[in-house]
Amino acid sequence: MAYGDTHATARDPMYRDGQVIAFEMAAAKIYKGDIVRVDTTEGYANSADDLSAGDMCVGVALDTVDNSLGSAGDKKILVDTEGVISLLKGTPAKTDAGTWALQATTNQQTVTSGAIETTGTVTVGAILGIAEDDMTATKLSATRVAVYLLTMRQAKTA
Amino acid sequence: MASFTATTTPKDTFHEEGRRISFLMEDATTIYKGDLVRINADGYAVSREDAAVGDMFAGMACETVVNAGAVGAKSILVDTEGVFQVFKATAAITDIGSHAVCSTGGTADPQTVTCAAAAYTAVGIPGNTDAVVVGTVVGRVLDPLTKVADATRLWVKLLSLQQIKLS
Repeated sequence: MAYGDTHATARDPMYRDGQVIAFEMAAAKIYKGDIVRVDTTEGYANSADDLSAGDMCVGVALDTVDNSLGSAGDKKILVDTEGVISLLKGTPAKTDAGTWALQATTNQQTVTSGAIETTGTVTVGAILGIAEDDMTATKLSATRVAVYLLTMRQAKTA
Repeated sequence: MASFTATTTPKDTFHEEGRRISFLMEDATTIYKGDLVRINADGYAVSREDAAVGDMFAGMACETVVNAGAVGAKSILVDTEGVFQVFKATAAITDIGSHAVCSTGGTADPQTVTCAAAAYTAVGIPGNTDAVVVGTVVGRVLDPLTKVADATRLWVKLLSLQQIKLS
């Protein structure tokens, strides 16, 4: 048996680059630099609500948008979905390299480091190492790690 | 413990960007522009044969090619990255954040997806190993003037060449 022929014709699939994507927002305020999640039970972007099952990381907010006085979907937020981004992490260490960057539960701009088998979290990406900082003697940041974004791959399960 | 054999010479690593890739086609196959293209277990591009074990999603066909000949006699250009509009029955806001998966065949349509929960996998690639994951739903298709959402189309960010159908 083969597929049906509902669309047995060529069509122009509408296309966007996908590096930066505009998501419809929940009735909330998202700040530039926030790690943005979509709660799949609602379908709207948020960053400040507690982590819950169904949450998926979609990227890092490129600007600050306040939809706290509106309704869900009234405004959109531009989100950077790919690339290497410097994100806050408490006491970055060289041993963070090669671990997952996981959304912290207490701050929407911060990640923690997790083992590759970690479950029940929201994965932001893979930590490449301590972020560079030319203003320090070691040239390494005391507060940030470089994260290769791996967005839209998995949702929080519990 | 075993160790690598020491390399003694440099090597030129040939590079292609990879955004648009040419794949050899299955025999007696037509792939239409806009079809969701899979690589089957034999290693050839298909879009209109039933989804089967070993299939991997490759991307969106960006041309129409009729291969009336043998396997590999023609090739098809496929877009492997980006955000595309695809068809889905009863598109909804709650589809956003779900994985879009290929319909399995039968009377289904090869330009249409269904949605499934984005399950966790230990290695961090898309879940739903019993399906062919096309990508992640990132938005509804809104009319630019009325802002009314299209009932049968969604924006999907492709996650190509990442997972093989296991069952």
